[in-house]
Amino acid sequence: MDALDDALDVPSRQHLAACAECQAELVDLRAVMTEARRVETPAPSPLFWDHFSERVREATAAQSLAPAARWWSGWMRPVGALAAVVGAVAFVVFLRPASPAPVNETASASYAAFEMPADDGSWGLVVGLAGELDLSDVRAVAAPAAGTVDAVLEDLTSAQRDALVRLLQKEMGDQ
Amino acid sequence: MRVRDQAIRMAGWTWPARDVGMTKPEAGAPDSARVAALSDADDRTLVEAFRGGERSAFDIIVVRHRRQVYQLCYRFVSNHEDASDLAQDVFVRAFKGLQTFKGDASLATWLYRVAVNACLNRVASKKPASAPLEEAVHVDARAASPLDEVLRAERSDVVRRAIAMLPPKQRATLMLRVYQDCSNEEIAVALGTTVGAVKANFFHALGNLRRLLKKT
Repeated sequence: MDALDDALDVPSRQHLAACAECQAELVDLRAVMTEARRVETPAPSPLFWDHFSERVREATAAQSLAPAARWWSGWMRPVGALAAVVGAVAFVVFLRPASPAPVNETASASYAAFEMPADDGSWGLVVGLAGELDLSDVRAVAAPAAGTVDAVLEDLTSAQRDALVRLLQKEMGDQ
Repeated sequence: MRVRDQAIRMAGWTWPARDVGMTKPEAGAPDSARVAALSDADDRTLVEAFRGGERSAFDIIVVRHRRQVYQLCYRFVSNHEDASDLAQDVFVRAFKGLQTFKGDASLATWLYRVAVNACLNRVASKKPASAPLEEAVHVDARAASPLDEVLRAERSDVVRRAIAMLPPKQRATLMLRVYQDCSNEEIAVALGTTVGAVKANFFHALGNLRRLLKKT
């Protein structure tokens, strides 16, 4: 085919120049191509072309002509929505501001070892409650769900609740 | 200048600041002036204008390419009625498909691809010609043509029928190469294949055509 296009590389050209068989083949193929090229298509009348354009116009008249799709339409729309959801979840899980340091078993144990002032019964109550807490409870408090705090307060006894109120009042009074 | 902007300027259309789509031209801009401006635009500009909502751009595309598309279709089906229907179908498909036309190839090559697909589908659904070439030729001698004209017409008919007997890919390759003057690269795009496959198909097409013609 490169020979038909006069695009042979040097070695092939040298071979063609020396090979009578290949030369005859090339002449033959060129003759076939020339013969094929002679076949003409009958030209329709000029009136046909106007009629043809009109037919195409009628056939496409019912088609809507919407502007080209924008990047946010079509398949991009659900993908964008999914990316937004993933981003929001990632923000909450990994980048939540001022999230408390992870609590581990060692940290829990240190509550029991924490030395409280002997005269402060309120702190003793808090330390006692903290020592009884399960790690999962601590995590739940670190990231409380809606209503979790209310539920915890309702579980306190009246004595525990009074102690907590005193503790909070003392803390707020110190500030 | 960007192609789209060029099209807009030429057609006298305006784009809103936030790019929400093509707006109607300002009052007083005559339709004929817009169409006249587009008729001088290149294919890429016409496609952009059409995609922006300018329907007359597609009319110009049809006028510009209808002859080549029709001729390609005619070479596949060898009769005016079918060629006309096929060519119309090609432009209807193009109307729908131009929104997704990426512009990697020229518009003509893309239209050839649409046309070849339509033609191959049509040819595949029809019974292939099976009559021997020498029996099929009939030229009306009453046409009062000179003898050499009659002989030439006979020979053309033989060659046309021989081409119709080629396998579809070889036939499409031969037509795009010989009649539409497409390069190997353009044929590869039009047929969705590689340049190497195009060269091989063209070689086999010529070889098979030679064999068929030697029988007559």
